Amino acid sequence: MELKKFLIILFALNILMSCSKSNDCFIADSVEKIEEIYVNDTMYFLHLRVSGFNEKEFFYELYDKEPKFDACGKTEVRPISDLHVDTSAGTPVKLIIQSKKLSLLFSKNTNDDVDLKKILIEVKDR
Amino acid sequence: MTVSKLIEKGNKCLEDREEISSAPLWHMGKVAVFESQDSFNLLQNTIDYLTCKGKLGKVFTDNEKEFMKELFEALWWGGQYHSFKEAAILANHYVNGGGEVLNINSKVYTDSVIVSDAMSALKAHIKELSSKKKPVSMIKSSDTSFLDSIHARSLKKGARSVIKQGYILSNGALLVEQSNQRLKNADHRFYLVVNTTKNGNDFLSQWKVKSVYDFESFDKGFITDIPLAKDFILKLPDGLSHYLTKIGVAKDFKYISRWQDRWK
Repeated sequence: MELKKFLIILFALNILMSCSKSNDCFIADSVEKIEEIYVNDTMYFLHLRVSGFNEKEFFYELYDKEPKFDACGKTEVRPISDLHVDTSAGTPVKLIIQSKKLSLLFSKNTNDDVDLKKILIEVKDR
Repeated sequence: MTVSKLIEKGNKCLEDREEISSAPLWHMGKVAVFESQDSFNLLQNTIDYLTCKGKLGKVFTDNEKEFMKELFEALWWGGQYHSFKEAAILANHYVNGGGEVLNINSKVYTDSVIVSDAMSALKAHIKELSSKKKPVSMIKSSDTSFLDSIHARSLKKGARSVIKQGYILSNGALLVEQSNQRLKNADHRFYLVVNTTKNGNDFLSQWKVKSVYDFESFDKGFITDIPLAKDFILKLPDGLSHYLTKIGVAKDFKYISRWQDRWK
């Protein structure tokens, strides 16, 4: 049984080592579009990026062109604004878009809980 | 979706499967090299099935436990292959370490931009404390006196690129620069602690990072994406990784890294 396992690992390792590096991230960022926002004749695309393996971190990203992401969650398009969600500052309750910049409103109430994909969005430029 | 399909989906793990995929590493290799849809489906379906069982709090069979253990061992190979050695060691220790404290290579920390900048800022803070004859023996990046000091200012969000430099969070934890894949897959945010002694004009600092390796439970709904090949991204729920600690397959553990330097 152990010999079989050893041979499987040896063979799998061999093919893993010989394969091309089609991705170089091991663990990918997961990126999801959560909103399309129309402001002053321009369409903006709001994405939520989830990064990390056992410790997840969250980022909002705002694009003025619709990005396409590769298997690692990378894109050629640069966000016009991005924002890390610092949960140590409190519970994020509202995402504010003003002058093409993202900011967050936090609540100190520890009972508040929010799904970051469904966070309340306020656009102040309309 | 019809009611009958919903019931069918809800009940998909109520009966044990006879065949559980063996050797996940083998199938991951087949996906990576041959883009094998069959192997990918086998892996993902097994993960989905075990997730369903985990959410219901069901006991895993020996084969199912072995599958999950080997999945984490396969991550060890994947981490080694991608040169993320620490992430690989941590994943393997999760299922083979028995919960013992693990020491990891300090270089993964000392090579980081945010760690290097935080060390410089803490040294400036320590020097100032020392000049005022205040104790410098044990300082943390989360100390209010440091966070409120001028030295911590350059580590804060507004002044830095989160991608290239990382920053210090409101509670004093350091968030790794996102371009540093090696560290962020091993330790995404952590506190830096320094114990310093002064000898004449020289300072000797012992730096330490202590973190916990664990996963969030199902209720958080977190998923980890593991790209095996183009368009083949394995979805591993963090809740399933967490559930392994409930059924004796894995154990949470602390991991520590230490280093020291002498400076003036």
